[in-house]
Amino acid sequence: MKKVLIVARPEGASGLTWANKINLETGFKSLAEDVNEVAKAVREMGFTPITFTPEAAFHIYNWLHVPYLDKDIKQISAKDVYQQISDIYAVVLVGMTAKAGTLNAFMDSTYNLVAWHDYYLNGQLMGEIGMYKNYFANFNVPIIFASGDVAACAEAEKELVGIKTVAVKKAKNRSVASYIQGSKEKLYSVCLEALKNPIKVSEKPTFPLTKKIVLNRTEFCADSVRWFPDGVNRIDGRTIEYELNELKYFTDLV
Amino acid sequence: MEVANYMKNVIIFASQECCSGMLEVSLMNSLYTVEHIAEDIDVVSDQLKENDYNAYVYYLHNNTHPENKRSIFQNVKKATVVTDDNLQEVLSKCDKAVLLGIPAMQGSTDSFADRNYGNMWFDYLLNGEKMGQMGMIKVLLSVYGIPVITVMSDTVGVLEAKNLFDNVETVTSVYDSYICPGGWQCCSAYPVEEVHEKLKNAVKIGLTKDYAKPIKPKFPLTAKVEYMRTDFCDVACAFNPNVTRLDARTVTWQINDVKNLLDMALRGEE
Repeated sequence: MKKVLIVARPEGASGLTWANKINLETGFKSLAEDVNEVAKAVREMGFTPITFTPEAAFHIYNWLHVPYLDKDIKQISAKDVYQQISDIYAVVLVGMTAKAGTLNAFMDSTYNLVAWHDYYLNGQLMGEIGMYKNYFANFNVPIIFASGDVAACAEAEKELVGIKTVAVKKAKNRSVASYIQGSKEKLYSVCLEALKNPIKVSEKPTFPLTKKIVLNRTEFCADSVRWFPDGVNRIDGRTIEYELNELKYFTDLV
Repeated sequence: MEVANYMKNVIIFASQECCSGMLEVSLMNSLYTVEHIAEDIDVVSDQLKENDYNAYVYYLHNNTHPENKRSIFQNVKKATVVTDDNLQEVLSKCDKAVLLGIPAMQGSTDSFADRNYGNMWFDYLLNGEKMGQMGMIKVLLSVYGIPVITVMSDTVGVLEAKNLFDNVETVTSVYDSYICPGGWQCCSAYPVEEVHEKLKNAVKIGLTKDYAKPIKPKFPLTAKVEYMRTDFCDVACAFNPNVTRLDARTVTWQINDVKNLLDMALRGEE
């Protein structure tokens, strides 16, 4: 049976309206509820829901929603995603945030809330949604649905033309948002619609793929260089660049 | 405050990041740093006094808890402490300046504790030119016509100083910035006695040199700050209604006059 991969991030969960509550039960329970809603639609269309939450800042908290997921939703790793990619019919993004530096966005960030200032792939500035777009396009898997705050949905609609989105909250500022009444209930219906009429897969990225990360401080950059494999090029005090000749795991992009 | 006669006063701008003996960022705001920076200031003040100069010290605000600032002021024995309230008066009566412990501009490769004046600034530009704390101090001092005679910083900060200030004597206090296995920034320090000896010599030589009078900036100046995050920019906009927000993380404003460092920064970042 074909699978639908639900990429889940806590920052954009419907019930997380205060940034400082991200590590509390409110945040991760809410994310699980959003994933469960979307999974209903996935099951109805005859697919198996699986979920992936990438590691990032505060990564130890990123999986605390797993015990609250429906029992049949399996949490998989980046390695599993690659190994199962041919079984994945489509990807849905739940709990997304707009890219770092977006005005009127809740917890705007690109992958890492603290350390990353900007992220480029082949010279194009993008956020996490753009990273997913490039990654899954490489394997011919379409991203058909996204949820998050208003700014994240607007970014998703710009990156993936025709994608169905549900804005679950609206930012008052980076740290506070207000929940949009009735949006949680729409997660199921809009995702169902997206599965019935999926958009085409995006254009594949061209290789070699050059990823460039601008970090907020030089010490973050120096620390990153320690952990990256050979071949990372430090452009300046806060910028590193790395060339990829192929894409396997999502973590290759970070 | 009664400031001594003109032409016999030196202003010392001091900061803790590159003080003598500094070894790692976790030492910031510790008693160790307080004592070291106070000693550095006293060594310079001693040398100035030997050459019939009065020493005044202004401690840069950022990264220092008010308690620690008070401790530094209490530990400084040989220079007169200057605050924001009387900085303008003191600067108008000084004819030379010394910079101690000020780090390189934020984003400088291989520098130790590179920082800008504002803790949350990603970049600071004045009339389109990126600058750090040394650059801001240069602009301030040029308003008063005060040349910088000596700078003590890390290896990268010293290079920045040589680019900024003509004929300046430099002393490297710390070098070889690296990330330790624990993940924080560390550096190697030259022996404190050696640094102090070099400081004394640098000040002595600096006092004997001739310096071209710094060129006054033409006002208004256009300042631009890019913040690390959007919420830091939100705070800046809330405290400073006169700024124009260019995008989620950037603000710009006009500076019509500069009398102290705060005139080049924004409210809420003191």
